[in-house]
Amino acid sequence: MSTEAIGKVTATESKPTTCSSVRFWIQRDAMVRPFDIVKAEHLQGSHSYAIVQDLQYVTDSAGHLANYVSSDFGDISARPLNERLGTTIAETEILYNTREVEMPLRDGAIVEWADADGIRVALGLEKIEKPIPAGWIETSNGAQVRIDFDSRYLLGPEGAHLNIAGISGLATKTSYAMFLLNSVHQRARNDAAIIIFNVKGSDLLAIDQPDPQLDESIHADWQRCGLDPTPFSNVVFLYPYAKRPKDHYTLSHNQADVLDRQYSSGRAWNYYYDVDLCKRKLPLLFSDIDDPMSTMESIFHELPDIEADSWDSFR
Amino acid sequence: MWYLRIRQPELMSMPLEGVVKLECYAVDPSEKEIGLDADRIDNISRFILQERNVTPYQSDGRWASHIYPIYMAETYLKRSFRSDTHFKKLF
Repeated sequence: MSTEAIGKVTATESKPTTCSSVRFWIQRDAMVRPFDIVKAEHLQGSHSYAIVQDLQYVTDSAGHLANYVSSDFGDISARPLNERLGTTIAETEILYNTREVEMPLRDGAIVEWADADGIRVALGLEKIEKPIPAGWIETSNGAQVRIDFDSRYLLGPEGAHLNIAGISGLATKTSYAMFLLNSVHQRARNDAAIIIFNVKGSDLLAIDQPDPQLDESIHADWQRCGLDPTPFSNVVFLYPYAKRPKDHYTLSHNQADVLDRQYSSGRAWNYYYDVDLCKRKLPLLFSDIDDPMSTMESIFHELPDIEADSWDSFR
Repeated sequence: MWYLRIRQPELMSMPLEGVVKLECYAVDPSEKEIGLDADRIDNISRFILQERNVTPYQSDGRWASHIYPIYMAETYLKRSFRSDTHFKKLF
C-alpha cells in the first residue's frame, strides 16, 4: 500500500474548485479508477479526502477535425512520432476534511492516495457504534478497506432498510443479500431474527450447510470483513403442506435427501392454511380495495355462517 | 537548403501549402565543396516527414507547414512574452 503523490489540483477560470468538488491532473504512469479515494493537502495543515467520479483525457487539440487531420487526413495506419500534449483529469467529490475546512481546494495542491485508515475515517466508518460488516473495497493503490453498515440504519430503529441494485439473472444481488444476512447473523444474533421467503428453488434451502466449494481466497475475503465463512445456525424451514407422503407432506421439490435430513433433525415443519382461521382473516386481503357498494363487506359478513371443514367444501 | 513537401498536395488549398524549407550548415570542407551527403539529407527529411503528425490544425494558421514540436516550443515561449501594451509602454 502506497501513499505517494499522483497529481495536483487544477482550478481554472471555467472549471474552478468548489467546496464539494475538485479536479486534479494525474501523473502519467498513475492508474486511477472511478470510486478510488484520494487525499489532497489543504489549508491549516489539513487534508481533504475525495472520491473519484469521472476521468477525462484532455489534449491541446482544437477539435475532432484537428485530430482527423493529424492522422494524415483519416489514415488509420498513421503513427505520429510525437504524442499530442495531453493529460488525464480526474473529477472528484469531496468527502471529508481532517480539520473541517470547507474552503475550496487551492490550485496546485498535491494529491496522493488515501490509506485504508484515512478512507475509513473519511467515509465515517470509525464513528459507527454498532457496525455490521458489509464487504470490503480495494482501491487502485492496493488499499483494502472494510466497509460497515450502521446497525441502527440497517436493522433499526432509524431506518431498517437496504436497497441492493444490480444486473438481473446473475444471482449477485441474492448472494450479497445472503452474505449480509450472515453478517447480521454473526454480529447481531440477539437483536435480529431473519425470515426469508424462498423464491429461489433449492438454493436457499441449504443455508444451514457449509459450502464445500469455498476456496482459500473466499475464506480470506470473509476474514477481511471480520467474519467467519460459516453457514447459518438455528435455522428452521417451513414448507407448505401437500398430500404427498413421499415428500414429507410438502409441496417442495427440494431433493429428497435434503428433506430427509431437515425433517429427521427436527429443523423442518409444514404449514397449512386452516379454513376457519382464514375465513376470519380473508377480509384483510381486500382491505385496500374500494368497495363502494359494500359487496365484499356483505360477503365477509356471510363467511362465518358458511360451514366448511376443508377448502374443497368451502369453494 | 532544400524544400520538402510534408502534406498531400491534393488536400492543400494552395500549391506551396504543406512545403517546408530545411537548412543545414555545411561544416566539413568536403561538404562545403561538393554539398551535403544525399543519405544525410534523406535521413533528416525522413525525420521531418515523420513529424507531420500531429498537427496544430485549427490552432495555428501555418499548420500545414508547421511541425508540432516547434509549435509547442513557440507556444511555450510566447506565454513568457510581455504583452504588446507593456512593450509599447517601454518607449
